[in-house]
Amino acid sequence: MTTAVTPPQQEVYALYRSHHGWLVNWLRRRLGCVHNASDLAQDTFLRVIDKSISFAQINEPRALLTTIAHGLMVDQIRRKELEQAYLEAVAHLPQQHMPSPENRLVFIEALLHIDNLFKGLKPNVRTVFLLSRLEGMTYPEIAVHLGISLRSVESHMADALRHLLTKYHDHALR
Amino acid sequence: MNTPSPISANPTVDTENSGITESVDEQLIAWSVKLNSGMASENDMQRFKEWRAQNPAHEVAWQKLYALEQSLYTLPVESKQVAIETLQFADRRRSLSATRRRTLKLLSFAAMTIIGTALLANQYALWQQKIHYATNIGKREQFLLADGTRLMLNTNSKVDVKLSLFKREIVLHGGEIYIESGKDSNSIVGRRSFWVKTEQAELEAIGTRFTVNQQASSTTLHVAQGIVAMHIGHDVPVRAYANETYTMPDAISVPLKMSALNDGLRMDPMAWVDGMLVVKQMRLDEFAAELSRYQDLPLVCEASAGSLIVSGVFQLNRPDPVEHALKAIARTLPVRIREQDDVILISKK
Repeated sequence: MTTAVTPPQQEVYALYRSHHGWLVNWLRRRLGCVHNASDLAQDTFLRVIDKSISFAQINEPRALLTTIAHGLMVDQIRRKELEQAYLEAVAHLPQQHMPSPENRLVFIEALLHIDNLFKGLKPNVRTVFLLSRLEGMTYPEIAVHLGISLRSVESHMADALRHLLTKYHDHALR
Repeated sequence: MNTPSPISANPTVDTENSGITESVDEQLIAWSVKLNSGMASENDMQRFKEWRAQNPAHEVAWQKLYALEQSLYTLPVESKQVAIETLQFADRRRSLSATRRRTLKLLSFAAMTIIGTALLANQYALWQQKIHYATNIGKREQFLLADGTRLMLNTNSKVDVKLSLFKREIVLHGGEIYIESGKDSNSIVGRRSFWVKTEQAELEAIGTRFTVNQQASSTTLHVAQGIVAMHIGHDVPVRAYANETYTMPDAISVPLKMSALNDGLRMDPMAWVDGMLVVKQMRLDEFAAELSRYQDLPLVCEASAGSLIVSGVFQLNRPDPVEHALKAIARTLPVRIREQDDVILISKK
């Protein structure tokens, strides 16, 4: 491996040279598609540069690379799932209510953000929160809409807010 | 975390040293829950203002939550209603694929347990759980199987995938598939043999890429790479090599080689994998039959137009591939295309 005094670019270069081919293979085995694999490998190395970690101190560079690559793969899968779910959701809408194609991209992007923000939270909790914020429903309306008690609506709202604030703290610490 | 009921909680300034951040957050949560209920009074608003003014930490916490929530509102207005539904659909997809993953895990666990009696047990179909894959008319979909195999289904196709202890088998019930057989590197018994079963034949893939098309009374095989051995009944298998195409009709026990030379091959058998339909010197009625696989509406080619000859490259990766292809044909051939009684009729001008 490189020594600690090597400038970061060279470290990245060394890392790239010795592991890029391996990473592409690793990804290809999981994705089954070589184009997608080399794209994701590229993104993985970009992330590594972004994080500006000192690679000399990394004992297991491949473990780091696969961790990052795996995260990117999961993101990509989530995005695909959302895109398909979106098509399902709008399938029954009349033409004039369909979001325009240019808005669709913005929409998927925003949904991915929401999806990530609420990851790990019970779907019902998230739905309560979004009905309040996106549809502007009052709690009694939400209770009727979902067939749950007013108290559940209130405690779901509190859970959702708590989750958001925790996410914020986690993010601020990073 | 122990949560006080947000509505009844009476927010007060927390003077304890420990856990200040958390309890400011809890107070803020209680306020937010109350104020967004749709039942908050002017008085509540006033008291919230006072709470914010009481302590800089309160205002900071509020600003932070406000900013966080703002990031939710980047949704285009018109699609807000769809947002919740989309997320719900996504949840459902995820829980479905999680079940599938669990099943696969369970299967591999079962395989490990039974390894001792494996030789005997392979005869039984107990754990050979079938996984069914299908596509609708006009759709193409790609799947990555547990053994690393890439499976693509063309329009209106159905397969069952059975991965058992010593054998991988894909049963083609209809339609057309493309396969890039996987290395099977996770298998505990080494690389298992790979078979595609159709109505007419059993095809054994030897590390390869190929397509199989199940038609009404025949199977067509095209090998892009590697070797596929064609077994029909108990006859000695015939091997198909790279770039070779064979057809296996009902009631004939030898595969017939097709090529552009003997007039058998008018269509690129691999093009659909890349979302294209490539035909060369094909009769229009044959082409219409091919096209009709990609849509619900039947295509009828009148006898007078049937012998016209089509060559061209047609895109399948578009919303209305059939309509588009027909328009292109109408521009180059003397035909009229019209919709009538729920069929599309192609007739000579």
